[in-house]
Amino acid sequence: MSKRAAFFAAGLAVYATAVQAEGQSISAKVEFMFDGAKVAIAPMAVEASRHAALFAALDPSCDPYCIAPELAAPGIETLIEPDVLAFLEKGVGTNAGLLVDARMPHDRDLGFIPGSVSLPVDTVSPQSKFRRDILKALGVRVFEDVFNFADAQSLVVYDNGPTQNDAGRLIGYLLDAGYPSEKIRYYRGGMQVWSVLGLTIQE
Amino acid sequence: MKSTKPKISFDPTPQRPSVDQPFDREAWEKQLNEPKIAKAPLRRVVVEPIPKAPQFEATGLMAGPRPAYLPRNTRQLALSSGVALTVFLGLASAMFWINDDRSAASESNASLLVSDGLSTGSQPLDENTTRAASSDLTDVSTTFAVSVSRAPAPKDLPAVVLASLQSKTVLEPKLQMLKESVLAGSYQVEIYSLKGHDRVRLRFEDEVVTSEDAVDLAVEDLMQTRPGLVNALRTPSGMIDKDTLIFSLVRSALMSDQNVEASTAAREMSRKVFSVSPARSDNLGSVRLYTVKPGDSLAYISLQFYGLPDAYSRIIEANRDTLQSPDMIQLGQRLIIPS
Repeated sequence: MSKRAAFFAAGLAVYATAVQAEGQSISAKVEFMFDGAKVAIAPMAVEASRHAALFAALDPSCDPYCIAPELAAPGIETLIEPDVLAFLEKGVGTNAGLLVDARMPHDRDLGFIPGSVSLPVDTVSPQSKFRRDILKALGVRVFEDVFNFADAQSLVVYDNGPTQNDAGRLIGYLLDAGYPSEKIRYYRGGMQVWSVLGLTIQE
Repeated sequence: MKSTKPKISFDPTPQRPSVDQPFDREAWEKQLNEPKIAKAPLRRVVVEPIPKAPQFEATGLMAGPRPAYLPRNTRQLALSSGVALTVFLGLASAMFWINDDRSAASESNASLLVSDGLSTGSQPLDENTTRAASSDLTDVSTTFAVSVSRAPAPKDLPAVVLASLQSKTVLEPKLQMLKESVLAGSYQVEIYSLKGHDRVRLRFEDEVVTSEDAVDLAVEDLMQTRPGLVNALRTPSGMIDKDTLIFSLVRSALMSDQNVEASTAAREMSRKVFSVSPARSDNLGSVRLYTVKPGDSLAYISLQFYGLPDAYSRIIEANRDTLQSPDMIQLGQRLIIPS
């Protein structure tokens, strides 16, 4: 009996160290280069509570009130904040990826994640005349009306948060254009969760 | 009580890479882009299914039975036609010579009567005239000299005739076949691996033009007409990039038809290759850099990034400072790809 208890205790100890080890590797503080300048993201931002209140009070973008699904589209991975931070550091910081803000300009004006680029969802709709140029800017090769996505950037797409689905729509448009699903990820928390966590927000 | 060992297995290593570890961007990107749902490895990209008919329906001049001896016996055919031609030309020249001598004899007799030997002006007669001008009609040395001066001509002639004959009989029917295949849409765009790097090429039902002889012939032909393209088809190892050569030949054959159907088929061919092109470049802010891989040629790179094999001059222009000469690209060389 005591043997069993000892094993149990040993198991718990291993579990505890594992949790600790995992906990250590997630840091809310990252620094990376973006657009030729150093960008720093840290927790406990000064205006965190003001931002959190602002984004929480936003009207939901759909009526009746709806909540964004877990997955933006089949095959699109949904990320949480540590993934976004790692992506900023290792993807955006090395020119290998882009953090995409799918909101329209009036929403972005309220504040955005540092190191993100604005790609308003309506500019990528099939009717948009900018679609071709925007895809080119994302690294897509264009010949006549054919797209080649071999060089296309890895994207993480976000919006206001779970009460909005601009990111989901943008991802849908990109997939329609042929963008490979393994190059797109969805940060569902968006500005709402980002601000609640007190992470740096740029205005 | 016998206690069994509890099976506790736990992997204490953190799943996320530590921040302190040196960052390997390529590995990270690979891991990042790995599809979460395992897909069956897709090696061959079939853009358009081959129509049900096992072989394409030939029309026009190609409607007849296909010459089966062409692909396999090209060398024998070339050799035997060369031998036949040499024999024929040899015989012909011998006949000519004999005839010459006969006519020379009669002519020289005639020149006794007609003092103006330049009356006809044609070459053999000119020679006869010189001979006729010599005082002694039985002078053998002049006859000999004349025949020797004629000898080199048939020596060069077969080579030239043979080359044009080969390109007429070997290359053109093959090109015609490929053209018909493209018009009928019975070809595939295929991704294959060369020394660990993915490449794209056209794949035809008939592998006629892919035979080495035909490639050599086509290169010889192109040397005359488009030396720039031949340079742009050179790979880092100095060989000819066969995939792009075939693409170029078929494309220009289609474009030279100057009808809507053919040029549409040529564009479709470009579009299919372009859409599945596996070539990757690095984005360095405003500049795109492509690293030269085995088997690449400037024409191939141009096809990957611009959809056309002939747009290589844009790449040459952008890399003027680093390219030693247009036909010298080196393995691992970084080329600027202007957008």
